[in-house]
Amino acid sequence: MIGSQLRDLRSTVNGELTKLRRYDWRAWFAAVTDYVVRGIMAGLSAGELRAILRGDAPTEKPNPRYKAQVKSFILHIRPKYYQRGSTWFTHTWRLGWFSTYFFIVETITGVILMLFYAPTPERAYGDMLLLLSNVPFGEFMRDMHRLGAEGMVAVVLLHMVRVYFTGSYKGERAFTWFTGVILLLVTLLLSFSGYLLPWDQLAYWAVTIGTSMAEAAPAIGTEVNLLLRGAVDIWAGGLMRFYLLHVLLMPLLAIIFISVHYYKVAREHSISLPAPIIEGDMPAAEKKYQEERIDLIPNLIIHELMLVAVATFLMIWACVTFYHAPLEQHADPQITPLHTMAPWYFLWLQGMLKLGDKAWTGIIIPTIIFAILFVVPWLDRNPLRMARNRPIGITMGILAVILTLVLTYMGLPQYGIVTPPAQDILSELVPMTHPGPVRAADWDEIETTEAGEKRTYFVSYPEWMLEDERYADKDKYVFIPALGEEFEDEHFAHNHFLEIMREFKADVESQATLIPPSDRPLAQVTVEYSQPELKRLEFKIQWLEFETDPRTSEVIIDEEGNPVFKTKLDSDEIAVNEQVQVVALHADSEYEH
Amino acid sequence: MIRIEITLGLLATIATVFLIALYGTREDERMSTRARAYDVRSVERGAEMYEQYCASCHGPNAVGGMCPPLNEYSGLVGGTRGPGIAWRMEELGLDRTAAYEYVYSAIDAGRTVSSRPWRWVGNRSAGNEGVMAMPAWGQNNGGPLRPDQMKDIANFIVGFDDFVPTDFAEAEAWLAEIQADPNIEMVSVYDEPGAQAEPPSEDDPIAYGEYLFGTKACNTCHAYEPAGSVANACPPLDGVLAIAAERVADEDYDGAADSALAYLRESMLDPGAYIVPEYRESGSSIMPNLALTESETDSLIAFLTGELPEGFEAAEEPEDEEEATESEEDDAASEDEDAASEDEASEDTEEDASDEDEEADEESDGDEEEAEDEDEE
Amino acid sequence: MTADTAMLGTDAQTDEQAEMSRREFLNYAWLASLGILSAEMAVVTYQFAMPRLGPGEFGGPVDIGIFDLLPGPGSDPEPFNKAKFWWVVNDDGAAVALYKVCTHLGCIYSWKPDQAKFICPCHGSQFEREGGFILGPAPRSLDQMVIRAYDGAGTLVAETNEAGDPLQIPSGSRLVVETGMRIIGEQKTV
Repeated sequence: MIGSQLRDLRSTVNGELTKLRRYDWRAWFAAVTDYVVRGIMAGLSAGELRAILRGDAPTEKPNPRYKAQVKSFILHIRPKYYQRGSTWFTHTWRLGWFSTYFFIVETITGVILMLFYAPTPERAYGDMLLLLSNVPFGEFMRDMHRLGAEGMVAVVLLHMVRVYFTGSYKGERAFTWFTGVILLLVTLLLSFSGYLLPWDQLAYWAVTIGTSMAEAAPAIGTEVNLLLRGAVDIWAGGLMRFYLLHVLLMPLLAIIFISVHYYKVAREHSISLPAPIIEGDMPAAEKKYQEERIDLIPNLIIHELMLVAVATFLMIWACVTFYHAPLEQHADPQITPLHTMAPWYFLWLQGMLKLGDKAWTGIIIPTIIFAILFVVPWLDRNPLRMARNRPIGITMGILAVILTLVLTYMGLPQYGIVTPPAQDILSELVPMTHPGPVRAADWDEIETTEAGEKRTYFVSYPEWMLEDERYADKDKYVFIPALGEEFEDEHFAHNHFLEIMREFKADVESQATLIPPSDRPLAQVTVEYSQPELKRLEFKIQWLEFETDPRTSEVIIDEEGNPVFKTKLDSDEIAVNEQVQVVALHADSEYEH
Repeated sequence: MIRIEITLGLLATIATVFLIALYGTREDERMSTRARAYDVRSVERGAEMYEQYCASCHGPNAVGGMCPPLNEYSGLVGGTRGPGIAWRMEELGLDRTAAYEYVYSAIDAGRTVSSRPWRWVGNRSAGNEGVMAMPAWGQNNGGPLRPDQMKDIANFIVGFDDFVPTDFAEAEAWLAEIQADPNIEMVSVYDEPGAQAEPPSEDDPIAYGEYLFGTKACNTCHAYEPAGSVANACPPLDGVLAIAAERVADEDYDGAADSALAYLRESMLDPGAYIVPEYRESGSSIMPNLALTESETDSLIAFLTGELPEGFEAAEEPEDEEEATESEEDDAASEDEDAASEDEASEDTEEDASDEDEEADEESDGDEEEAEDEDEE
Repeated sequence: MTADTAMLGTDAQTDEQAEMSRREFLNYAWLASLGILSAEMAVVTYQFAMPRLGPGEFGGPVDIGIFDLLPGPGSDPEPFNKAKFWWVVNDDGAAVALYKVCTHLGCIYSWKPDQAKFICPCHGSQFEREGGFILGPAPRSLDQMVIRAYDGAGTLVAETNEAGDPLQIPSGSRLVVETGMRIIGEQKTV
């Protein structure tokens, strides 16, 4: 009995084994793979994928590529196709695409940078230094992030200008334009809020100025300022709020509005056809050709991927070679550095501020400008888009661009802000905001005497000093010759630091208001050692001034026809003005200009 | 066209891969150069801030002046040794590696009093007694400096590292100017910085007492003319022996002393035992317990009252301000003369000592004459 | 004219301007209440986000009580430390509130009664009792805070002017020092 049962069992097992051996495993495996691939790729089979890569026609009917766009969440916001004319490079310049590209780059680099940054005044600046000096690829990530930010603002602005000039905001595209202006605001706020985070002097003062403009708003100004800053002055509260704006609220709004904006473009009204195709005198056959579809899969996607690859390569190349985001000194509420500047996309605003009261030029007029931008599609009643059919629109656009450029120029610190010449000259040699030529010079070329003692470089001096015995020691006292003349000592001939001194000489001697005293040098620099690897440089400009009439600003002349010098307050002695700057330079501090 | 785009994309991607890899191989070097650069830039900023905030007291290049030198160099100040940070750390028995913390905390919290007032009084010159010897610079303590700024200055200070500056002429000229300035008057008995290189020995109780009066910081609270101290937060000590006698006799007194000298001892060793009524409500804190040794207490009493401890000879009052060592020589020389002068036939050859300091006033002279007859404790 | 009117039966009319149905009305009411709720949440968020410069804290108004109870003319300046100002009354009975931070580098200066002036311990800048610059590295006279005097009914009766002149205060006024409103001191003339 057991024997027969065992025999039965054995034959059953054998039977099953045979079945297994004869089973078409290949087919089974292929079926499972096909199922998985289709599941992940929104219905596209492996064979279809291969066909896409080969550039073949779809392998199934109905077109699984179109179907994929219905089944897939990611693909469903993309268009199925664009018309050929819409894809002219010179029509769109791909600016809309790059706006999104930059946003994604910023998000990725931003999240990575968040690992090492805490938004508190005690830590923020130190975290920046850490990122730049002790995190592998830290400087790279930060530079990418900064470059991406500049790129995003530039591209978004250019995109708006393009859409305006191709008239692609009219008709059914009006709402899309509206969301676009919102996105412009969001982009500017993203950039502005991020600007504060490094917590250096540039960040602190640029944002202080910006929020002070907000404070100038009538009625709600104080509250807006307090909301933004979290206190009367920018400090911990302000930094935290700006950080949250930058990493949470603004990105959220950006994602929402990008989605709305792009959905309209991709799924409702598509990219506009260039106006010449519609309104111009293009032959019918050509027109038909330009209206042909170009499918998303594979053509548009390949083109887009190519754009991404090239743009990413260019960005990375820039960051690896020449582009490095600046970092100034630690934020200091007590000291506003000379030449404080708004970020370039706000220079127009700073230019406007120089024109009048900050309530008007800082808030009210900019608000009106943005209000106009929002309603452009409804202000412009002309349904035509071609340039020659909209003379007023085009003219207004060109004027607006020119005006913005002029205001931007006016916003530069050099415009309209008078700095005393001595202070200005020294601040170019050893600026507060960046290293400048002296710090970037070769440390070894900034020489003391052979023995390591203090050396004085007389940069600009009265003639008699050259013959004076006191300054005969050529090691301790070096007289800088004018540009064009040679140094007496061959040793100095190729010294780049001395070249800078010659430019200093030229600058100082070309200033009419810096009158050289007759008994001492107009400008000099001393160099000595403070510590074995630390040199102390002292820059000094000493000058006289003419007495001027306070009402007319004209120089006062005495009876003999000579101009009168300013004297000290409580005596008749001629007053000698002095501008001094002391700089410490270490051998290893590695400044780039 | 499509193939061109694919190729372009492919090339761009490969180029990116190589670029990043190349960059990656140089990262280590870049980071170490940058880290070093940031460290030394801190020293640079510290040096610049030093000139702005510290040089007026601590001298150009930290050579010292009204306040101690901070560089390593010893030898500049008045021709005698002017110890820098390393020397000071050793003197205090601290590890040299703690120099940074030592300097940082001095900058942050300042110094209420100088720890070596016989040489450096700091900010507390005549006319300016109510201030701290070294102001507190940290923002948490009311000053203008942030932690990162103080860190920079501290990095600069500890960076001196046995460096000897070769150009003293300017520093010496500056120092001479300070000493010649009539507006800067040292409160301490020793007018010249560096006047006393070593503390006086315990063999001269009055000189040693005077030294202790400074190092224990009595001068910061108690006025006492021989020490040139005018601080008024606490009971003045001029004529203190007479005052002590009154206190002991006063019915309000509830301490354990039974004589003026005993009262003085109690005040120094157990300050909380009895607080004079006028000073109870003043808001100033009780005198700290300074853990004085027997010898220190004796010396201080000698300085305050002229009463010498057991076994010590009196010295004749010298003509001018001399250092303790010189007075000791005088002591030995004039001993015979003293023996012949007013001398009580008491247990031993104790004499009243008058102050070596010519600033001793009549009051204390009078006190000493009174104290002449007192019993020694 | 639509499905819901059909469902409501006798309540509805079939002409173009249908009377509002109950359902419609309820929906409108609900939408309105949601609107109110949203507005309310906005207000809540606003109040949450606005920094509170509490009374007594620096940056907001500080109530220092009745004028007559404060130290009067000729007495030493009275410090208010948390609010960072000195209360000074001059011989004419007019008052200034001097910001406690020195105009040089931000140290807190002190009052020297024996010398009757403010001296900054950091670098020795000196200022008069009413804040005028005397000597030192400070660039200007002391900054002031705006003083507001209110009568018993709460009406504003006096306020420091823009030039920062000492303020004559009616007797019995309640005083508030606005630490968020600062008047910059006069530049020193040298």
